Formats: sequence, C-alpha cells, structure tokens
Amino acid sequence: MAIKDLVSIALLAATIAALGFLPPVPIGIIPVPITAQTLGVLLAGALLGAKRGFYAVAIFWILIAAGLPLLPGGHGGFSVFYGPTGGYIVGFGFGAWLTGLFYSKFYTSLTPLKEISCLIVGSIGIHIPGVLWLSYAAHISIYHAILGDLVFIPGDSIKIAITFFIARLIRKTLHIKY
Amino acid sequence: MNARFLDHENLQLRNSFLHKIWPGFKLSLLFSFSSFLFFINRLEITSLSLLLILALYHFTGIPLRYPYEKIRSLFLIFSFIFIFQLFSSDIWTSLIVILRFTDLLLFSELITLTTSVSQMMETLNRFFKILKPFGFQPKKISLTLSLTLRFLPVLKQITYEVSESQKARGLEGNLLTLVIPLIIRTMKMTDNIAEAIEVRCYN
Repeated sequence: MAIKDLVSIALLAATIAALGFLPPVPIGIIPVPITAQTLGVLLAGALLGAKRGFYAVAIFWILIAAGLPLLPGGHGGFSVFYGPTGGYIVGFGFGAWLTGLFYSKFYTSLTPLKEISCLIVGSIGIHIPGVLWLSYAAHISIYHAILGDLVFIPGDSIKIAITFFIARLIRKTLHIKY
Repeated sequence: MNARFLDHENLQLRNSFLHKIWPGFKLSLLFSFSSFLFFINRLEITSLSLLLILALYHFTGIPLRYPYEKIRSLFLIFSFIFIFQLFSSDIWTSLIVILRFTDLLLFSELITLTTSVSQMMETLNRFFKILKPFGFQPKKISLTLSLTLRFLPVLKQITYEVSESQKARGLEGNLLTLVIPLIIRTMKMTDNIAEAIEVRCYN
C-alpha cells in the first residue's frame, strides 16, 4: 500500500470517529436515536472502495479496542464488542467492504438508482453480523432478532439518503478513482 | 464526555495488582473467560463469576459506581431481552442470558479500566507482529493509527470552522451542509500529507 492510501485510510477512520461525536438526533416515535457514525462507515466504503474502506473501519476497531471513547455516548473499550450491540460494530467492517465492492464494480455506470442500491446492500451488511450476534448471545431466534432490528430502518433510510447525496457530490468534485 | 475520559485516565494510572499484570495476559484471560461462559449454561457459575468480578473491582480500588453506570446505560436493551426470554422460555434462561452479558461487559470494562491506552496499543502492535507471516504489516498499521489519532483534533477544528461559517450563513443544524464541506476538505488534505511524509523519506 502506498503512503497516499494509508493517509486516506487514516483520514476516513478519523472521520468515522468524528461523526460519532455529533449529538444523536432523536426522531419522534422511535426509541432509537439516529447516530451519524454508520454514515461515516458507508462513506468510507463509497469513497475508498472495498479494501481501503474495510481497513479504515479496522483502524477504528483497534482504536476502540485500545479503550478510546469513540462510539456515540462516549463508549469504548473491549466491552463494546461483548455487549448486545457488539455485532453491529463488527458489521461496520462488513458494511464498508460490501459498499466499496459494489461501488467499484459499477464504477463506470453509476446511476442514482444503482448507487442507492449499493448503499442499501452496504447497510444490510452492517446489520447481518449484528442480528447474528444478538440472536446467538441473547438466545433469541433469528426471526425475532430481525424483528427487533426493524426499529433501525427509518433511521437507516435517512442515513442512506444523506450518504447518497454526500458521496455523489464528493465523487464529482474530487474525481475519485478506486 | 470529557469528564468521563479524564476519570478513566485517573483510574488507568492507579497502581494495583491488576494494573501490573502484562496486558497480553489480561486479554487472553478475557478471551478464555468469554468462550468459557458461552459454553456453560448454568446459573450458579454465571452468578458466582459476577460476584468474583465485583470483588475484583473492589480490590482494584475502582468505586462500584463504574460497573453500575455501565449496566445502567444498557438497561433498556437488557430489560427488553429479559422480558422476551421470560415469554419464550423460562425465568432461568433469561437470568442466565442477562447475567452472562453483565459478566462479560463488566470483566472487559475492568480490563479497559486497568490498562492505559498506550499499553493496550503496544500489546496490539506486538500481536500484529506475530501475525506478520499472514500479511499484516505492523509498521504501516502503527503509522496509520498514529495518523488517525493526529487527525482527530484537526477534524474537530475543521468541523468547528465549517459550522461557524454555516451559522453565519444561517444554515445551522443542517447535517448535509456540515458533513459535505468537512469531507471535501479532509479528502483534499490527503495528497499534501502523503507528499509531506514521502519527502521525509519514509520507507
């Protein structure tokens, strides 16, 4: 990996961390507030591609594991991986990788529809390990875990929309290549 | 959040027998403990280990309000899982599930509280060195890690500048107008920083 790749990985990892500092936005009926952190994860995939996007999340994991309070609400340390929501943090990596994979695959023919479906696949990638871990660790059947997972859908669709606008604009301004 | 972080720093610098143990040993203890707990479905073992962990907290000199607050922040999810298990199986299973989560959370939190961030980084770095034959490049990993740590205050500064200038335009509270300039300015820094590193003959 060239130095430039390392620097861009570090910058996106820092962006993921910085977006966690933005205060969570509560939305009306749903008990789960929207955090901007997964927005950074999807952006890492969309702007860096599969491999570098995954590395950016991996750097973020190492910093969390070392004990820095980078998750929303000032959480951090090894304990977040063992909590009920630990699977989602592992899912960050899978989500960034999937987003980047599809972005680089359709790079030459990206229409808005394709771009949004890439992001949807990516954010489903964040949820798969989350649901699996929740159902394994809490002894809940997969079906019920998915049912509980549905509370994230409104927040996630808003985030996908925002990421779509941001990624599209930035790819055009900076002429990003994968 | 800052206050919480400073508190952690204070606790991490204390001196107890747990602080003195080599962090690699603590981490392997954590992994073996967690895999042990996941294979065993007995209430007496999970509750006994909870007592043991709380005793460890006491002996290390960490006030018990730390584990209490850790559990309180997850109270909603825990009560949801507990009620769900109560309906789908019996009370013993639900108690075991909740107690196991509590055990793992508190034990890993104890390890974080008794190991400083730099110690933990050093241990992880040593771990990557062992994994070198599998394609890990510890030097590049540590360069990226330190770059990321350096960029955090830079990003904070950029976020502040952008949000101030958007406020002057009457655009406060809009996520898009904050994040787009932030990312563009960050990505534009890439080339300059990479050149600066290469000029200093890294590699």
